Amino acid sequence: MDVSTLLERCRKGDDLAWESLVRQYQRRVFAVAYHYMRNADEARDMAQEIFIRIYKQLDSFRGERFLPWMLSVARNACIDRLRKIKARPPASDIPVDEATQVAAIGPSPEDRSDTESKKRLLYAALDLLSDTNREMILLKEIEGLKLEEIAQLLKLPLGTVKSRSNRARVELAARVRTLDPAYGAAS
Amino acid sequence: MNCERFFERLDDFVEGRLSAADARLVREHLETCPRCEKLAATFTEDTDDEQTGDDLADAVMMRTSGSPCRSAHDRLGDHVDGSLEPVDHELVASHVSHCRDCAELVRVTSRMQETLPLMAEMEPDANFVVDVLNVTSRQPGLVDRWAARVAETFRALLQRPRIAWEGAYVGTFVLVLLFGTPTSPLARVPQQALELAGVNPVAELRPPAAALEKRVTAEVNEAWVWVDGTVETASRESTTAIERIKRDLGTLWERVTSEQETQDNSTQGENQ
Repeated sequence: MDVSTLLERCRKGDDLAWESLVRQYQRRVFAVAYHYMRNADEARDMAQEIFIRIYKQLDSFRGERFLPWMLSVARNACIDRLRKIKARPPASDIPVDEATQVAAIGPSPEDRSDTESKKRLLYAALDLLSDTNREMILLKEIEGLKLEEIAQLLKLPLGTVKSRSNRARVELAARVRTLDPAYGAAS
Repeated sequence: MNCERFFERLDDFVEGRLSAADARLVREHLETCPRCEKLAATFTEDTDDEQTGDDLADAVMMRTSGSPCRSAHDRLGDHVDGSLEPVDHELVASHVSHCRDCAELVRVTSRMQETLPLMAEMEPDANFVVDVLNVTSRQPGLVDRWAARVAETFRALLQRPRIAWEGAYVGTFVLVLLFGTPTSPLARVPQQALELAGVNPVAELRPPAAALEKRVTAEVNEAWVWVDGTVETASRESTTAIERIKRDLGTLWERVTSEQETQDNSTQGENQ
């Protein structure tokens, strides 16, 4: 069932439609929450809070793509929460092991492939980025938003978003090379 | 010798036209400056064309606009995505073919593109959906949203700067409308509430009020008597004082007039 139909049913109070929407987007919302909170427990609480906000603001969503709107709600919720916390652990204090633990929650334990090690490396490299660059990577490279959508979400000019996006990718690539010079070598 | 002075003498150095002293200074500088040493080697060593070309291009870039890598980085993401204009694409590709660092960045960025989208989803624990549904689906959706809207409006009202004053004003107005106007259906509610509570404030206040009235009346009368007496005494004393003054003045007037007469009589007698 497409998202617009689900949302219409949700607005009419259809609990089954709401459950279907939650199940469809739970992994996405949890991933976004984790990228902002950088802690699995906080991410779980935040993901729940994000769904509550989505539930309460369903009436305000009209016609646009659901993903950018959902990311906007998620981002605002995470930023509000981070402001209340007022302290984030420095990037260097988040060891790769934590990223490993979180990554292990994802695919099944049997799937310990090269992809998982690459993910862990990218999580570690993301932790070394500035908040701005990490958010750009999240919105553009991970969530796949278009530059125009990112510009609207962040309330920035399109040119600024484009240059920040490029800088963020170069910085991430440089961090990945620092952590693993052989990353992506032909195997 | 600094690098700038070295550049000025580079051609003469390569062709052996420097004096011994200058040549010695140049050699001393080359021992301490790897960049200039590499540049000098470019001109003095016999290397293959490609390496010479790369080294020469690097040397020229260093002496002119500086490293082109920053410009390449600005376009690197679009280059990987294949969204550059053909001219930009060719320029970046040309730079990358001669710059090991940028070539590595292109490679890493390309490989990252395969993995980053996979990080868009992470599996929460098994109870997550149930917990979310418990929190959001307890009541029918419309009621929840209405309640949330009311709560949101109330929160916005509380943030108004003079909400206490406004609330008190509105509250008082409502209370007066409800209980203070004779035509209101709830006008008798306060009295009924008192009766239900078994309290009759008027009857209970009457005895102490009567005693208070009696005491106040007695004290006022007492004070009035004192005032009256004081006024009478003051009036009597002032009357006595006035009489005495009049008497003294009268005596004085008689004395003055009799002396004047006496003086007048004596003056008339002298004139005669």
